[in-house]
Amino acid sequence: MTRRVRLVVLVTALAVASTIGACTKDGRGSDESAGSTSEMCAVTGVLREHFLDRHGFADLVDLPASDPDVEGAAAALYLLRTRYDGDLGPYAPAIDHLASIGREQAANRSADARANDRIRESARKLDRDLAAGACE
Amino acid sequence: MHHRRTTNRQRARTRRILGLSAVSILVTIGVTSCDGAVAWKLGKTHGAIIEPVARRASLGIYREPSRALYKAYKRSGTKAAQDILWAVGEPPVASISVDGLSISTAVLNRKMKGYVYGDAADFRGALIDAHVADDCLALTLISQGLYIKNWTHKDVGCRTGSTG
Repeated sequence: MTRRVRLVVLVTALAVASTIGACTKDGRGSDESAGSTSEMCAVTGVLREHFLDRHGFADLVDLPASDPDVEGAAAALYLLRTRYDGDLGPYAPAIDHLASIGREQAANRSADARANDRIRESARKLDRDLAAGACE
Repeated sequence: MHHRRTTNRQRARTRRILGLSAVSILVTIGVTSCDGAVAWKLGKTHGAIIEPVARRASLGIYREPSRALYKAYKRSGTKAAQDILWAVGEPPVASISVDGLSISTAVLNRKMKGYVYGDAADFRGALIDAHVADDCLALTLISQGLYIKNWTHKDVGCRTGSTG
């Protein structure tokens, strides 16, 4: 009898612990997502006002690094990332790709501007989320 | 005896004067805690440039950030460059002093937005000149013993933000 009670208590404790673990994990995931969105909004604030009138991020990551639109946005992102250097989550590949172009150009080095699929997907998500009002 | 006492007193006075002179040209870079105001910080993009001979103190935007600011200006204009410069700033800030004059962190905090946005033509001219000379964009706040506000460009001392 006592052994059975102990077993029930143990199973219940395991169930509660796993539920708490799952909740914590979900909660953290949601906080991380909110955090990366707010960090993305902070980083892209000036860009949305001054640099995205002709091209979205999906275009910028595939244009040549010497394109004035890329140069301007990349320069801005390079500077803004010195201030807003938090985790950008899914937006990081596109933003950090452009920021690295800005950094290389500011150092008078040639920038490797080739985007990969991960960067393109990140740029499309940025455009989608901005268009959906993620920062409004 | 009287002569020796006078000599000692003179030496002490000389030492004091030398000490004060050294203090007066010392760069004061006081990093203070955040007081809620937005201002520039020392570090990744900016530094203090002190030129003791010219009795001049400036805030310098390092070379690479200056080049990036110019590219941003070239694409989207003066206001875009000003907005980036303002957005990049954050507390804590430096207080600067030279030749007995100083500007506290509180004053820098209060006035920085006016420095950045107050005279777009002056800012633009200095940004272009900095680009042509590949210098740092700089904001001179003390010169020849006077408080001033002048966007300019610097070669000496700008890369590291150390004393010139």
